Amino acid sequence: MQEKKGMIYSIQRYCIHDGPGIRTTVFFKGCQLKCPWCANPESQKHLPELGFYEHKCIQCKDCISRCPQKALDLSRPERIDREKCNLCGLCERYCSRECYQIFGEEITTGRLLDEVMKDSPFYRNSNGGVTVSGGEPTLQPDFLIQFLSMCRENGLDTALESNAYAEKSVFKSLARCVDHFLLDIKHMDTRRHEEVVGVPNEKILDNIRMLVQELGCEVSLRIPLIPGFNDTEKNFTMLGEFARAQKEHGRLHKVNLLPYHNMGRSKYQALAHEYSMGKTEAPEDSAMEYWKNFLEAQFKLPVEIGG
Amino acid sequence: MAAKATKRIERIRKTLIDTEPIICPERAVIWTESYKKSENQPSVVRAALALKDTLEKMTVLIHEDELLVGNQGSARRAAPLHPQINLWFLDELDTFEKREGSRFRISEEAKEQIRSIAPYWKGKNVYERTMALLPQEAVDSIHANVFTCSYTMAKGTGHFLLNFEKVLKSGFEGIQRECEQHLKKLDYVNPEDFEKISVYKAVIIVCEAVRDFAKRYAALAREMAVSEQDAARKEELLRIAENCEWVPYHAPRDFYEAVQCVWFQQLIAQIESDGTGLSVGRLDFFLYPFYKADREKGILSREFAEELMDSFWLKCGEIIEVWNQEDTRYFGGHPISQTITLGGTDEEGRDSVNELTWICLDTTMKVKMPQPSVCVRVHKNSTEDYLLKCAEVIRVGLGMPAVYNDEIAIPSLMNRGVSMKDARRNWGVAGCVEMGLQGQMCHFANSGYFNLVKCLEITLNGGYDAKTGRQVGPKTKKAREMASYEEFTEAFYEQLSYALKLMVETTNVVNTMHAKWVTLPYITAFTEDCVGRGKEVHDGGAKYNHDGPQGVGLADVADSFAAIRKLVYEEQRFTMPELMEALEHDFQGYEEIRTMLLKDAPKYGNNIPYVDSIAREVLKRFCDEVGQYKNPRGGVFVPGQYSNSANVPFGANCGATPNGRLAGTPIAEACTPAHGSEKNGPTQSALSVAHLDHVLVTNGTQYNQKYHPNALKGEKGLKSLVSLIKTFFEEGGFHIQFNVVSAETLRAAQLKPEEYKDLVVRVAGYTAFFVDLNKEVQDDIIDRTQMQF
Repeated sequence: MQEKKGMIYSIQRYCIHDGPGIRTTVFFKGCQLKCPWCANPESQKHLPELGFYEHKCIQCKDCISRCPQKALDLSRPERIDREKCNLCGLCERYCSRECYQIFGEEITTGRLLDEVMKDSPFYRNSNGGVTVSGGEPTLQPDFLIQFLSMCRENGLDTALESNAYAEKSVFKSLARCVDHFLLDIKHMDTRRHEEVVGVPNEKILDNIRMLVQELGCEVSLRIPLIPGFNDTEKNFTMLGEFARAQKEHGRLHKVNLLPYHNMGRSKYQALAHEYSMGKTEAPEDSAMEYWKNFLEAQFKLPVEIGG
Repeated sequence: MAAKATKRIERIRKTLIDTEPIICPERAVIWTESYKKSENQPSVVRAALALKDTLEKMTVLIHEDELLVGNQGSARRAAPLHPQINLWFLDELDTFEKREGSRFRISEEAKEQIRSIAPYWKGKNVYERTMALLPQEAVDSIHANVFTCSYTMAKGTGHFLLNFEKVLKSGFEGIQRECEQHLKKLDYVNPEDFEKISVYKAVIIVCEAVRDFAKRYAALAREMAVSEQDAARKEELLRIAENCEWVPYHAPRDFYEAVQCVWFQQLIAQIESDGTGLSVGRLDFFLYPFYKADREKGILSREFAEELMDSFWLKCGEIIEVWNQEDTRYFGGHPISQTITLGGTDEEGRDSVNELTWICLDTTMKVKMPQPSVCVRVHKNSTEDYLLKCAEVIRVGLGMPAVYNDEIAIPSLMNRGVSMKDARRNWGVAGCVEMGLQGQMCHFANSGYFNLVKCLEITLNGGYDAKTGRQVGPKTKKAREMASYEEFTEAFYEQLSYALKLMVETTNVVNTMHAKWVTLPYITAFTEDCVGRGKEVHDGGAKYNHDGPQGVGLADVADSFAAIRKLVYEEQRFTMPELMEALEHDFQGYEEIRTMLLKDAPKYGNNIPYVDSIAREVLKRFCDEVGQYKNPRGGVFVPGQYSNSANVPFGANCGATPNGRLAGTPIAEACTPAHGSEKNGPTQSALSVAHLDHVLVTNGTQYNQKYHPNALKGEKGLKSLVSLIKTFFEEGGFHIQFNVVSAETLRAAQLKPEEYKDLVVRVAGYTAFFVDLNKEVQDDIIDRTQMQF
């Protein structure tokens, strides 16, 4: 078997919010949606990127002299001239303050499997396993499916976090190697959905219906709660109806309400991406409770705040 | 479960936390006066008479609200001084109040009293007697910081797990009768009876002194009851009087008396001896029969039992000891290490968790004190409920309970000659992480710390210490001349072997001086099998006798080995002379080499077999070296791998190391990976640690993990922690403890200590109030990797 290669940007261990038990979460790089609240800006572009953390810098200038491309400039607040930078990584390697970080690494399915298997003793005691997240994993379908199939062959429990915006055929293949689907719904109104994240939602909702109702997969729905965007009674009513329909026709495991937070903001700065959420505040606990009760009471759904 | 402590407990706790510790001269003064009068008596009898005089004359106090009575000194937190061991305090009388951490108040009158008794002990204390005997080589090694035995040169043995069961069963009265029976059969006609006669006489003096001490409290309680206006409190005082008239001389008749009896026994051990780690041990196990009987008879409510346990915890919290300025760097924040070990098994290996275990765990959460230090024993049949309960207490963020693996402890003790039955039934933590045996062991557990990183440094320099400018080890090949990795490791082990032998020599001298001059007739009274053998506890009376030196800096050494092997000898990235040049310049101008060392060599703590197997081998060689030696009490040396905060001063005296560590920075604590080297999260770090051979390390290993409070939220947070602990243990780990506090909180506490007076943190094998630590240790705690999710 030819091992596929893919682009990931992080492997996190002892994750306890991305599926059952203790999990190892692999973050794929690249996403086709443009959610302004995205907490992982390093996940958006497929290709590797260099980040710079200004607050750690002590202006020692060591990096400036080491950069062969002359791409670093102390007078620029964002530091890096991304036109010139060829991601050689010398700045990251030599900076004693760890101001630089390259996001994105190409890896084969075999090596990735070795990495997650290192945690297998912990899966055993916690009924945990592997979660693939991102970015959007389904943008690298061959790599993804081969990796998850190999996990399955090695007896690992698998979960997939996805925006559900891939072709049906991809999800049909995934249904054979994923134990838990964790799928996002940002908004029920397709116009509003397209306006804000860049694509309509029909394909997403269809994929969810197919996975639950035709393929019998276990699905959790993950709803990012974004103040001013989707926290309306109308949206939650439509959401409730949609979720209830899935519950009635298949295995809807949970509805997770994920409160918006702006903790990714510093990473936007590091990557010189624009953060467009401005001063949006995280929702109050009471608002989270309100929507939880709303879905539980009216639609009898199993709702949880947080992942 | 009472979710909250009662008002009474809250009041006692508040007073205790608000009480500033003082230096109390009482014990030292009475002790000295007594010794001046008893010079014609054998050593053990003199100690008994001094204890008797102290118990007769010291201040006795019954504080407001108290249900349990018995105090250590002339105030609520009053640290005694022990001139018979070391006179270090004479130079520090004027600086106690000015210390940055571990500060004490001291009155001018107290200073005067202390100065007046000191001349008597000049030349007669353990420290001076030891220094008179030590060979120059050992002194040189100590000066070079290759090892330190500073603890036993400045403090007493400590680290006994007292035999509470014996006193609960027969009282001191029973012990006295036993000694009287023995004495009847002995006389000075038989030379071998000489020592025995002294021991029995001393123990009898002690038993009577203990009885009379308790009666002083009974009298005080009756006196206070007369003038007490509050009827309920009057009742309480009368009950206290009844308790103290009966225990600990007679065996207790109910649970309340049993708890008071245990407290007296623990307290008097603190008064007799200097030394930390006087541990309570398996409290839930040996008190349970009293609890069960009273509950069945319907004479004890669960609420009152809880209040008594809470009171017991607060009583332990009163005990305080003072360290010299230098040692506060090694042992920051008044560590007393009165450890309580909950859970575990009986002698047949059956789970012994009971209702009292749960009460004690709740108490830990409610009372939130750094003392007593609470540990739990876990074994393969421990229930999920019990583990979840432990996780719930851990989540509170006190660094407690520390969790111990029976499946390692029991074979480890058996490997050092302990019977399976004793290991299962009596093993408890003595002090920090050391495996002790309740009631059966004389354990110089804190025998000293061995600086593995300094050993590495002198190896690279052919046995020469650059810092002191002395040849402190054998003249092995210098690093520049080493042609292979094997030549390097051989040289290291030769230096290790030489220095450890000096350390054992030092330990045997110090401990013999303790045995000769600081006899402990009180602890002798109940420690198995001192009375049977007619031998003092320091003199081979105990059934088991361990001495434990600890290695510090394992991770730095393993990482350095791996870097040398891979980068110098396998990949030839640079040569040994180039490496040495970089180290000598603390990497200034050698950033390329330092970067390779840091980034291109594997680091312990990431589950990488290349370096983990080196760590395992280094530890094994350390254990083999230590384990071959015998101590003067007929017991063995047992290796440990923990550091308290010794990693900070040790690091300060070490140059740059081949793992990329800069000169003077702290070395790795205990079994924990080096600072900043864990790049793969808590699971991989735990596996690296678990893959060491912990069974060999009978004096205990210690492994800290730190979590942000977010990681333990909700039931999922608790269950995951339990799974992590179980996996760590199945993979071979011995001990794990958790600091659940955010770096933000610690930084805030540093800025506004007055607002964080009761913030408890795990330092090493013990816990302390954060604000009691000096800045160096505080910074070290904040710096260490905090694993966030």
